[in-house]
Amino acid sequence: MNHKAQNNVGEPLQKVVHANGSIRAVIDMSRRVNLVAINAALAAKKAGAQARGFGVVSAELRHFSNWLDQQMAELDQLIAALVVSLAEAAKERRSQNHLLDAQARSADPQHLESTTHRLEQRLVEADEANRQRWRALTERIGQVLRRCNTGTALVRSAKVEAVYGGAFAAGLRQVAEEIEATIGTIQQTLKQLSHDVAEAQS
Amino acid sequence: MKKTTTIFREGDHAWTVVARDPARPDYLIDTNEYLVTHGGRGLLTDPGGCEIFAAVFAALSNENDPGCIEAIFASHQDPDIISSLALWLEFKPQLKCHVSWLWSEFVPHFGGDDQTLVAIPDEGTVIPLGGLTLEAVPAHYLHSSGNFHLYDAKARILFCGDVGSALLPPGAGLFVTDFNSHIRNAEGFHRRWMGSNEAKRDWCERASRMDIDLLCPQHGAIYQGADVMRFINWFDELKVGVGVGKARPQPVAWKQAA
Repeated sequence: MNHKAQNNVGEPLQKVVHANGSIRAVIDMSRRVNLVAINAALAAKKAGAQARGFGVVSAELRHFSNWLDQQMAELDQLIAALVVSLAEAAKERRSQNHLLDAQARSADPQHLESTTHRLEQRLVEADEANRQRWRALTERIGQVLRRCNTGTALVRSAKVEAVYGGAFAAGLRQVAEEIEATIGTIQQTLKQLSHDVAEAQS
Repeated sequence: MKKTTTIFREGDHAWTVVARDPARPDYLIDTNEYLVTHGGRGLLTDPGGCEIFAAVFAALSNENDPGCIEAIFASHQDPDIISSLALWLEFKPQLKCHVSWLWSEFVPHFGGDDQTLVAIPDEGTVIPLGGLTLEAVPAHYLHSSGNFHLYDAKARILFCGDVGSALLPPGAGLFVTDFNSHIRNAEGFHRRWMGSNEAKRDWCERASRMDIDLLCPQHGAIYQGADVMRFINWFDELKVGVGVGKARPQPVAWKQAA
């Protein structure tokens, strides 16, 4: 049988690889937030008493980006486990295709019935385990997305505090805007990821 | 899960090795897979058997986008080399597989068709990869009768398939650090698996003329620096095709059955 004529058993793998790419992109961005937040704290220190409020907010932003890093590491582990189990399932499904083909061509298909049944059972169990893994991934992405609103709120406060930065106001505002843009991109990427993961399950 | 390590990087040109699977069952020989990337396009050498597909795929996904892989290089036709081909094709049906012409009607038993397989002539060929030119170097009878290695002149890396392979104890490092003790783990393997002294001499002469920083086998540890020429000289002196009973201890399952 030609591999191209079969059901595309590699499709779930393609989807999970795509999702994995998005998670890696968010990891990179969350590291950038952390770096910019450090710069923000340093800028606030330089600005002195005038930027005390900005300093407090930038410290919170660092906590937020550390938390985001941690969440992304956990998402990464979830997706790594999913890649392994989907690759295993692809292997089983390919074996099943071969067996079903042999059964269809056999003069006495009953010979292979118990074998195909056993494999089918294994696939049902693997599919259920994978569904649970996809669900866990969806829930975790949802949680991270909701917490990202905290990041947005913190950035808004940072922009307000920047106004009181006196001579440093413009610089502080620039740092806050940089963090705002990165968090915005993280949110967009996570929303797309959430959409991709939902689609992969359907 | 198998571990990925980047062994060469220069701009967007890189070699990444996937090796050492702590979860590998004892009855499967450990393998090294190498991903060559250049300009965002990838070639995977000897991707391994279908039993380790999940481990290799997951390890690669962790560091790279496996979607960048556009070609597979199979040094020869053995199942531990290329029996995962069908699964790679499930992931990316347009993949090409470069293999000796001798095996172009055998390898499709693992998967693929005439659109997949690119036959390498006996004298070798060049394989382009995103502006980079890789060379399929003849290594016939070492150990397969249609056998090729892959040379990257820019990175000065020779992927040498089973040549240089060693059956190492668990926990062994990725690179050879003590040549004399390492080579003891390679001797039986080479005596048994390498079938022709003439072919071996031919390979040693060819390899000694190449500029090689890293000699990368499919099993065992990578030779670097002076150990590359040490290995070539050692192999040149070794009498091969005489290793019956000396290759490796019998697998555990066979021992138990005996």
